[in-house]
Amino acid sequence: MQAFEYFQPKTVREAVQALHKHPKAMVLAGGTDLLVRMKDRVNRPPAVVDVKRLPRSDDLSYAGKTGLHIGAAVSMRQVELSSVAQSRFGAIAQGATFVGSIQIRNRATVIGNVCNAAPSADTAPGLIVHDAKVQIAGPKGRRTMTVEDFMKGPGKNDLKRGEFVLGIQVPAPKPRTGSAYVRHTPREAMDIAVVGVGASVTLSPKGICTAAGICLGAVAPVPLRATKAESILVGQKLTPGKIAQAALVASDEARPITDVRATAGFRREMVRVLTERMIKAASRAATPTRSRRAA
Amino acid sequence: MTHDIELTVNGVAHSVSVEPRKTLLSVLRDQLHMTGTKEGCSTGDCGACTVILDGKTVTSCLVLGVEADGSDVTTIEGIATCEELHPVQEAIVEKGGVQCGFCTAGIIVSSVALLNENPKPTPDQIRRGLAGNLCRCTGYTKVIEAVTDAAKKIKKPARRKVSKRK
Ligand SMILES: Cc1cc2nc3c(=O)[nH]c(=O)nc-3n(C[C@H](O)[C@H](O)[C@H](O)COP(=O)(O)OP(=O)(O)OC[C@H]3O[C@@H](n4cnc5c(N)ncnc54)[C@H](O)[C@@H]3O)c2cc1C
Ligand code: FES
Ligand code: FES
Repeated sequence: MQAFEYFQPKTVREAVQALHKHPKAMVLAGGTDLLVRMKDRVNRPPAVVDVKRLPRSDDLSYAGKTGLHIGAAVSMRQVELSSVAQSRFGAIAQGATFVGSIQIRNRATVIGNVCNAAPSADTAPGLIVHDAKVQIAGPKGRRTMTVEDFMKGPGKNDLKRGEFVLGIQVPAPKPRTGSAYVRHTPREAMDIAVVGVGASVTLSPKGICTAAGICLGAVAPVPLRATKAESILVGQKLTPGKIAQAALVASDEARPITDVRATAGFRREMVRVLTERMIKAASRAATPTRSRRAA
Repeated sequence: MTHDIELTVNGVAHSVSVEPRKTLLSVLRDQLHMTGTKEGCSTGDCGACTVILDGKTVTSCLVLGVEADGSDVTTIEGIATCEELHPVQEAIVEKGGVQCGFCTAGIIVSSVALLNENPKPTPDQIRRGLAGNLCRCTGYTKVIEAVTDAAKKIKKPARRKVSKRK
């Protein structure tokens, strides 16, 4: 690794100043993407700003009104083990659990995953189907935007000079909402998603789908929301036929490429299979346990 | 510019002057001369460099030394006592869970941490817990057997004592 200056700001203001003063500085969270790239000399930042010791940066908390807050230092492992993430934000917790190994999950942050903006980022589909927003701090103050808009292309996010991500806020899901995420990889662990699919559904007391989210990973330059497939589900009872129809439409919406991991055709077919499974898993999770037992 | 950091390694406090670009792995091996922790891939994939940082296993090749300022680190050198091996180490020897030995330090550190969190893991939980520790020699079967065996060996009375103290 090339030499660089290391900053460990204790306040948001110090962090913004450090980033503003060193235009080519890079933010360091868990380092599981950044340090690998610095070793390879793909990135050669003259300065590195570590955001892990900012106040509340390791905060992972839930409140009924505001939802789930994920600080800039919150690790994949924290989310994986969080009972509130598992029960209310299944797709996000499951995405975090797929990442690397325990050692990697102890370091890798959710926010680093989003900032890194890989199309295969395992927490992105879950965050996007839950309408998560990034909170950005910068020289001009704070702003927020959806994770969906924030991730702009492979390795590209919406941050401007001097800005960094302070936290992610995920709205509290409506009652009878469930979500799930799965990825396909040739190996069970330590692999990158060939296809990843996150889904969420909200059901009315009578079992009609009132809202649906489907997000596809690794089949477009960014995690891709399958909006046409979503609209097929809304207002409907989630019968196997409807779910299969939505899954087929989702596979049409995907824009996969052929690369070393898989052909475009294989990816498209996997989108269909996994979307079907994830809508089913999400609606199971959305169904209150009592009626599930009775059924 | 170097940074002066303080860290505790296996219970011993150290003050070291580190360059920001030096990894924790390099600080341990090259500055503190504790060479039990190995460097395999240097990219987080193989787990040979696994250490316990503030209670959590990490790949020390992907942690900067400066990031470990104020931290508590356990390396493979801190697993056995002067008198006896840790049950995981004993079991690895007995079951033949070691061949060339390059992965072994990492495998033992990960296994010890795994058993601390989950004293009675299933073989599947052991496999998932060790997913980040690659081994080119053993084929893993003997390693899984050893960790299963170690879980049985770790004496129950000792753990009961700990929980009573709460
Ligand atoms: C062995 C291994 C296995 C992996 N497996 C997976 C996997 O299965 N699935 C997966 O999705 N990923 C995987 N990854 C990639 C990586 O672990 C994740 O993308 C991780 O979430 C990145 O988070 P981090 O905290 O380590 O980010 P860092 O490496 O610290 O940062 C990543 C990027 O985001 C920027 N950044 C970080 N935090 C902020 C912030 N708060 N504000 C602004 N910019 C910021 C950095 O400047 C950098 O460009 C793996 C990596 C390794 C080494
Ligand atoms: S040397 Fe650190 S994981 Fe391989
Ligand atoms: S014993 Fe040789 S790599 Fe594991």
